[in-house]
Amino acid sequence: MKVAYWPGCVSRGFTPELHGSMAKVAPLLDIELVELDRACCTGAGVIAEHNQELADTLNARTFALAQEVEDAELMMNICSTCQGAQSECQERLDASASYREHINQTLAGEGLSYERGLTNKNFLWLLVEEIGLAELRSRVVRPLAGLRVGPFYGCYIVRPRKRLGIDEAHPRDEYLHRVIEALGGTVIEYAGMRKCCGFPIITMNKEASLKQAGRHLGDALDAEADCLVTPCPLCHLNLDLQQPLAEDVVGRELQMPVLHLPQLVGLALGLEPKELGMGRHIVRPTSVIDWSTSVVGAAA
Amino acid sequence: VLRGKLNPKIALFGHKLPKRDLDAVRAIYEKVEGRESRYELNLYVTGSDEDTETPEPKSEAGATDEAGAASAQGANGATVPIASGGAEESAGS
Repeated sequence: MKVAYWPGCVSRGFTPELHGSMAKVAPLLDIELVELDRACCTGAGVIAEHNQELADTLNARTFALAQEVEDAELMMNICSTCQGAQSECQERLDASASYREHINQTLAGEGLSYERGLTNKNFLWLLVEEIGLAELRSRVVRPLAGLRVGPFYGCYIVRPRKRLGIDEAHPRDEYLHRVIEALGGTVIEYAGMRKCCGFPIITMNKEASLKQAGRHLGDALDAEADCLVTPCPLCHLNLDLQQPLAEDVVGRELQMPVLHLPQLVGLALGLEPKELGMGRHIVRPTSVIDWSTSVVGAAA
Repeated sequence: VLRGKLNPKIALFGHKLPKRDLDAVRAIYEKVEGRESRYELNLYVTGSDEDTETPEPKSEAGATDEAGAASAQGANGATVPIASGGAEESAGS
């Protein structure tokens, strides 16, 4: 499957282990990534608040570049925040022919034009809807047996439901659960798994932001999760990068490893924690590395 | 930084766009930000501003149609229905 690949800015600048692990996992799933390296940031919703037309034009440009990738079946991203911001812009662009024409006039100078109806899916959605859980299960060489994984969806990929195409036929707010199970892991549910990680308010109210992150991590710890997994690099930043500060705010030791989705998939597909960049995490995923070592040891 | 968690150069300045793309993005900023009035498509909020004179609805059916349509926020702040495509087309994912 060939996809126009949108990694997003955060995966390149702040969480290179996400970008790197996706590159390692893709060939194992027969996904050909054609990176949209000419496209700019989605604006993460911030530009849209400042100037809606500007955000829509910038994202329409990205969509138009994706539509120019020859033989690509769809556009894929690895960032929930990008998915949320892009879905918001696409909803407007697809809703009105006259608005789309207005936006395309700005893109015309580059010879670009966005045509209604691009399919843009987060890697999580692609795993379930395009590859399929049965196929994913068949490719697992090291089932995550005994690994207790807490899903962390965050907010951008589960709300608003209609815009994100969540319905009975596409229960996308359950997909992390299903992927963890397909990989052989045990799903650990906890209160904050579909709540905001706190990242969007960190520059305005750092204490509240860290309290949110600390509370979710504490809930997962109380539920005896070995690690969390998230499809959002911004959630990862608040839950992993800021975890030492969140510990101070909530007044308890957390030490909860937070994996990116491609890292968890890669682990089950036989890749080693080091190859997946787990050494780059602020909270060392000791439980995951120990699990991996014990499984490899037992197999030997 | 020591663990390679973040790349300060990319974190601060973003990934490097080829020059022609950087120029194209700058041109979009200049053109859209340079407009005298904003053109905003509002798919969810319908109706009229309080200080805008609104014509009386001709019939109940007509009022329902208008309320159900998507609208665009015009330059003068008045909310006006968007072109016919807006009500007919549905958003994709």
